[in-house]
Amino acid sequence: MAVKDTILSVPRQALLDPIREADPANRYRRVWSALTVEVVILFGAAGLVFILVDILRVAPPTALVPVLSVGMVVLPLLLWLLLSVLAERRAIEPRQRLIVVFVITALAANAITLPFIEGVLQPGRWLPLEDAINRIIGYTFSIGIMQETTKYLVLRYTIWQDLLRIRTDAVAYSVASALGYAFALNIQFLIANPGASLDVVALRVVENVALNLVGALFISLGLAETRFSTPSPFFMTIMLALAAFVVGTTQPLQSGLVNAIFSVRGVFDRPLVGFGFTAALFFGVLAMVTFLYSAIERRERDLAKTKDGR
Amino acid sequence: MAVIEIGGASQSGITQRQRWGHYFAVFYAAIALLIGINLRDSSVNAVVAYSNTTAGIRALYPRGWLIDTDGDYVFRVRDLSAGGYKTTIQVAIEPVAPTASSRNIVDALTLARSQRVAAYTPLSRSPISLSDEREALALEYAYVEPGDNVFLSAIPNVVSGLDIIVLQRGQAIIISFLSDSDTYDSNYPVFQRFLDALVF
Repeated sequence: MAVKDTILSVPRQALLDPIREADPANRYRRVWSALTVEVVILFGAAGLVFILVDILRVAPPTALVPVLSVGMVVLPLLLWLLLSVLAERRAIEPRQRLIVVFVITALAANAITLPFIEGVLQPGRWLPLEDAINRIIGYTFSIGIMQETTKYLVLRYTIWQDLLRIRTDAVAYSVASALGYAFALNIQFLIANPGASLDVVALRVVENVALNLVGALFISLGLAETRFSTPSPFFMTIMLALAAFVVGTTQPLQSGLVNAIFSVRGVFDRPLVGFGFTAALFFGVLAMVTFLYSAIERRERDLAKTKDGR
Repeated sequence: MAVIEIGGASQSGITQRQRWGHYFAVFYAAIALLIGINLRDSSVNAVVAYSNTTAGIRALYPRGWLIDTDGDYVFRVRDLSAGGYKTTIQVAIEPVAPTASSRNIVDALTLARSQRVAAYTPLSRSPISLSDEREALALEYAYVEPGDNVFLSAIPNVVSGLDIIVLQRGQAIIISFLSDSDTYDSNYPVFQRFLDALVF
């Protein structure tokens, strides 16, 4: 009785819960949801700007347009910092080099890739005059391959392979790389077109960000599979080629959709068609790559269960 | 292709399969880039053949340039996609007296142009050798082109020109290259290729 009293008299706060290992799925920040939210907000902001400026004819003060344009260029970066980079701090095992990957890709794009494209490959000098098939091939083997190889090489030499702990690490770092490249593109666009109206800047920012993310998703799939599975040695090459091809195909299609059409009633520009195409492309590729990732992970879990069963 | 992994991961933790995967990707990128440069070169340097048996001239002019044979020249090609002044290559033939020299042709051209265009200024004249070792005279000049639309508020274009004058069989063959002075240097290789391929 005395023993029982002694035990009961121990203050409740002194009892510690047994140490439980966190669920592996919760040790890392969730990438897909954050990426989706970031892009949805970006598309929403660009759509809002377009409705205000182009449809409702709300004209911001002229002095304010450059500031708002810079804000539009910085918006994807801010969203990513808030929803991805800061969220990493709350994760048990955060991804350490997201900002490093972003900065190195932006610098590489600005210092090497974009000057090389403009100075040597000069797609604007010869591709606009070509027919559709030649334009797709030309853009694939100029802008497409340079853009995706830059991202791939930055990822290969910054995070491979110790920082790839789970498959979605490849996605998180590829998104950082894509945003870095798109940021350099957007800044160059802003410098080259200081008088561009706000809706044009917004649509261009969305287009650059979405197209870079699409390519980066393929690169991430290649890196993740090469790291965690035993695919064909050509798998990374195929993903790189596919990413370049998607970029190469999208460039002429997008400009063809956005450019004004001539008809007997006059000339009509169609920026919303290009905007819709960009959205459909991004969310289509996102759904496809997400499905592939989940199918691969499910297959690995099934294989592990089969092995455990034996 | 099957890669047999002997010994599994190396000291750096990369398997042979992963290593080859990266090598193939980089190799593909390099090859794709070379293809891109090759495509660019074949497109930028693509030419169209022109032949005039009456004048005895065969030429290869850049693809996409607009050809015109209706003026006081054998033919003229213009790059209508160029910004500012449309880059032009023109071949004209003028009959000359047997005793005429290249200098007489230059003087005649200077007189005619000074009345036809604004601020015509001869810059230099120098003897040159063409690729087939023929002697010719090169005349560099500049003038101001006001533009087609007088209602458009725009600064006039400064045009830089180069004439290559060759005397043969009682004729002066005048091969002219005209370009916006801002893009003259970058356009000059196009004229150089045209001149090298010109048969007259």
